[in-house]
Amino acid sequence: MKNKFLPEQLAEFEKSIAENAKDQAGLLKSIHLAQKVFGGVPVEIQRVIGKHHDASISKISGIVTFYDYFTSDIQGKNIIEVCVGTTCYVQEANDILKKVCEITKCEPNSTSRNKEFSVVIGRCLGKCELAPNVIINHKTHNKVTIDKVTELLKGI
Amino acid sequence: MNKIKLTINNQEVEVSKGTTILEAARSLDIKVPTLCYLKGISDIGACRMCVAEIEGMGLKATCNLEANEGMKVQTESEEVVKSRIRTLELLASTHTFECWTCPREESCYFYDYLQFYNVENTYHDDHKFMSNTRIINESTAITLDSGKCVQCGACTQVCAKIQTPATLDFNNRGIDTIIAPTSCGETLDDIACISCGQCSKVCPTAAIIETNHIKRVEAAIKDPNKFVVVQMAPAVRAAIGEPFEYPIGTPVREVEGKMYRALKELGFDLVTDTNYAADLTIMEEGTEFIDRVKNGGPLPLFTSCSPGWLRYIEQYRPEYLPNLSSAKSPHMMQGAFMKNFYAPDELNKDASEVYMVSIMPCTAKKYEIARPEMEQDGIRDVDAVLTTRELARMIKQHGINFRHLEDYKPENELAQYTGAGTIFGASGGVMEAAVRTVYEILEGEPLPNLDIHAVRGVEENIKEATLKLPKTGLEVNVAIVHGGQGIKKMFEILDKGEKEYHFIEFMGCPGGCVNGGGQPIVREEFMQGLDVAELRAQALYQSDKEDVEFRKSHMSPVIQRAYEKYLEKPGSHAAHKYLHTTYTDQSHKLK
Amino acid sequence: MDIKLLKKIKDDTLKRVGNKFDKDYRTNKEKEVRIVLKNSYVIDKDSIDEYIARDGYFALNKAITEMKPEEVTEVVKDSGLKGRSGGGFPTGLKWGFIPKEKGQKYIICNADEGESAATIDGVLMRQDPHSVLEGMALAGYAIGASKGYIYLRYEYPVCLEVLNKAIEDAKEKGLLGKKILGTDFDFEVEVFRGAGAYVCGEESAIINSIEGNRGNSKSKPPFPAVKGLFSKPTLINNVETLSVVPQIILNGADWYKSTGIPGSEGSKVFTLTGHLNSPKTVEVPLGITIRELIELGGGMRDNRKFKAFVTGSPNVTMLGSEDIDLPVAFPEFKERQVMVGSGGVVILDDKTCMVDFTHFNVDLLNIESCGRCTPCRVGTKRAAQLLEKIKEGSASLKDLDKLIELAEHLRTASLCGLGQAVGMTMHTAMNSFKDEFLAHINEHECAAGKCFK
Repeated sequence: MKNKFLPEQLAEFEKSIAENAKDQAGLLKSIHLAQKVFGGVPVEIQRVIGKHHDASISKISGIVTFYDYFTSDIQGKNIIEVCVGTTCYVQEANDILKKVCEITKCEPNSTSRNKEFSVVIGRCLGKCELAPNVIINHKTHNKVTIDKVTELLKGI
Repeated sequence: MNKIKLTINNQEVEVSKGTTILEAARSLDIKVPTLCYLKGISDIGACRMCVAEIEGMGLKATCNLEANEGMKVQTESEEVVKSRIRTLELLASTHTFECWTCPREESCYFYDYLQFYNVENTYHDDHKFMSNTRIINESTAITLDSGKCVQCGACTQVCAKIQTPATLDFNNRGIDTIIAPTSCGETLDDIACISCGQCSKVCPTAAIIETNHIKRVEAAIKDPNKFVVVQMAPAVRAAIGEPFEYPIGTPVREVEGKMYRALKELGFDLVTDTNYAADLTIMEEGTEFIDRVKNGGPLPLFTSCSPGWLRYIEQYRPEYLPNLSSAKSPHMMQGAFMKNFYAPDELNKDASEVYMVSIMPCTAKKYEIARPEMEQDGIRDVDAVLTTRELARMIKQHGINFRHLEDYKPENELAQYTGAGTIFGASGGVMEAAVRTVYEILEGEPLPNLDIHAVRGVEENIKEATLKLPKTGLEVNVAIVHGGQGIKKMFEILDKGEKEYHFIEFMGCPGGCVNGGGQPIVREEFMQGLDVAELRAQALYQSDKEDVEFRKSHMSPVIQRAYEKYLEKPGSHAAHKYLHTTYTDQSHKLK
Repeated sequence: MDIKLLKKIKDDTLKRVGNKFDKDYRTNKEKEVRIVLKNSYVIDKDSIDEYIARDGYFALNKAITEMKPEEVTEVVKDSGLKGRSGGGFPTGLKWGFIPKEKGQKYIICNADEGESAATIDGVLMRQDPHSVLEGMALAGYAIGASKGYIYLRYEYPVCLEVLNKAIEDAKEKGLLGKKILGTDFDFEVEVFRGAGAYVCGEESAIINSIEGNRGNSKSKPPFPAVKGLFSKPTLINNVETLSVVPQIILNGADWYKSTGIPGSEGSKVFTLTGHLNSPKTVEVPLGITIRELIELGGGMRDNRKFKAFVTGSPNVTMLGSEDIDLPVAFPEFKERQVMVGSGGVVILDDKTCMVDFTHFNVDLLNIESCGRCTPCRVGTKRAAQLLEKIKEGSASLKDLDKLIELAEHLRTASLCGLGQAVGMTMHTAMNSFKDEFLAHINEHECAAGKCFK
């Protein structure tokens, strides 16, 4: 087992998903919760979810790897989401992404080695009039430029 | 029932409502290519090989499209063929071609289609179209090779729907999609797979195969310091002819002698037969049963010859482990008996010199020989397991013309057997063999009818019978369970505790060993899996009835001699040391 | 709750808010209309009373107290309303496909507004959540469903809060839940959060996702109308479609038809983005020309030349400058294999390289492909690689042929709309900008200066 979780944290989590298990549309809700509580859905947690939802670990793994907002590693302390949707792309969002990766020493869609940063590629955040957009720790920044994003990251 | 008329390739056909276009076409003997389709199990329509042109609808997958009144279908129009070729070109661009070393060289559906449609491998000329990183995920029994995978998903369906562990699924998305146990590199040993290998039998390519033991066997044969002994399981003889163009269900007597001869020619030093130890198993397991009946259980007694089933109970239902017979499976007994008694005593070979190879219809046996308990003083009971498929491949690689081989019959004691041993390969066979012996031991007189039809057949995954012992006054309720689905169901029945059973035969594969995960591959479009099991089982029952001198294990002179000379009596201290084993709770495995 | 109370809330609220509702946020009152966006930015999103004051839930009252379910469907059919999520399938027809037999049925509101540049569903859910809920309840009444899910894309956390509050408020007032408005009609709504997958805008993928599976698409038929969520008959409409239904029921089919042109009735909200002076969200009657839309967006940025009109990204389809006077309407677009899309419009200027733009989208679509069927899983990747070759200058005309062939294969042989639309993306790009592709291959010339680096 790579990851250690506090027993009380796990117990609390299990209690919450036991409710979801009764809901036929509950599986994704449980995975959402895991992502929120633990910052990721590693195999240990996948197993707990599978147990309650009567699903095999392979199935849970398949789901976790399908959706962009689920990760099988625990994400970093700071999550930076750079939108590279079409509108942002035509306004050079790729250059912003490159800059973010350079500053955080992080590949796109992964977590830096020091676990400080996770860089996520966003696919349209729904604010296209204000493109390009970057979300840093759940706060959206609009009309971002390379200079602006450098400033913003300095502030973390 | 409602009938529907439609035309396929200008031929009119009438089918029942709910029939798919694909099945309707098959009823007209129109061949529609498929990669991901398994009747009744998988019809996700993913591979796009089975497309046909349907008037007013364009190209549609036919495997999951229900026929409608008046539909006009073309399965071979220019458009359709062009589409299939493009699909195949795309699949080819992701494939690792190494056909000459590929275990599926002769049974690869993908290869057949590439050949049939004369597909040019256009994307291979340019490094730009590099395929994905090939990931080979090897476990003790089964190896997954992403480089050969066409992502049909048939394995995932068989595992989830037929066998129930659901230990394979799609991971990731887009071109990175991969079928794997998890996304984090776990092997099938790390998670609660049962190693049954049913996935390998539905794979259209070599993306799922048994973990190769040919190399280690070849090396052992070449090693002058090793005395290489081979044994083959009952079910192998029911199918070994198939790779050599014998029809499914060919009588045992037509191929068994050739099989022994082939083994001789491959260079094995001694050819023995697992059927011998199957008889031994009956003595041990039968005695254990009688003992449990007399001494208050625990009952029901579960058979223990199927390692897929062992993994199932250890991982999923360890609370039932006390019910499991402690008897090793036949080939493990054969290995232990050979190395510890027969070789030192009769052959003048030390256990450490003997290299034991088992030919098995099974992939899980590869896992079984690696179980930590399966050794004596550091010497493994069995050293390698070849599946029936691997044996056929070896025979072909050595240029042996199987069909023209002269029969050979090994003379050593460990190659002699009764009909009871033979039928181990069929679902219900272990139970039938056990009943023949248990009845006579308890009743002290011959069983009136040796053919116990109630326990035969593959239609139901749980079969039941009650055996009346008039003299002893006992009524023994037996059950036969095969396949993961049946096992799961049986545990639900046992959990409820409403019905009393005394003896239950469990087999991990549907249909038992004849349909094991290591048996030759039969294409879905030719026949359904269980029909194949039925035909192969018939061959074993026929052999039991017509080919052998003895049909009851306890009547076998060689078995009697084994007890007289080495083991004293079934369940003795020596028997326990060498022929029995222990089990552990494996419920911590990821599942 | 009954009609009397509803009227009282309306009157009281109107008195309270004064002239608040007279505000008009249109910049061009001639070209823009306010139907879908009737309440957006006008009412307080958190106030159910203000929604009621704008005739909210009166349509629901009218339907369940005065109309038979099939009459509701009939009105929607007559209005000519077509699905606003891209395909443009007639909404009333879709409702009519649901079997009449009693039993568990579901409504799913597709709020997985995955198309980049489309923001209208988000606006509606944030600004006018009750119109979505009322639309769902009307659909539920029409087809006999008692449960609705809003499949909300993960990226919209604000919508989640607003919708959940709106649902609570409506339940408290007896406008959702059991015995709505004192009748025997029950209807529950639950917001279900997606987790980030573009393909989950596809109907069967949504169903898989709610059921707790990978968001793979499934073969059709069987259509969701027959075998949908949890194998029950299911109606799936998008947010914009459902939110306009209350007004259609209240004002009648003819009223709705008076906007737009025959074959493309009603209005459509577009989010105009890209190389424009003032990117914005506008509601216009269908039939408006591309030129007019560009003008509404303040014209081309930096006075550059208009190059392409793009809808539906990343499943983009595009039109070039020769089509600038084409009306934005379903039949006209369909003829050119272009989708009206769900409202996202990207206007591109002549600094954009269309090969690069197509490559970007096709590459993205491979990442978004669910990976199930061969053409989409492998074909989109190979297409992206072929486009990359063109960008690098290593492609030949043979590669272009291969690309054309792949486009055709994707369009005809893919399992679901995503793969089929990639074929359309490639087709429309190579059709409208053929010269640019050829110039890249033959002359290694990229007018925008993006390629051959």
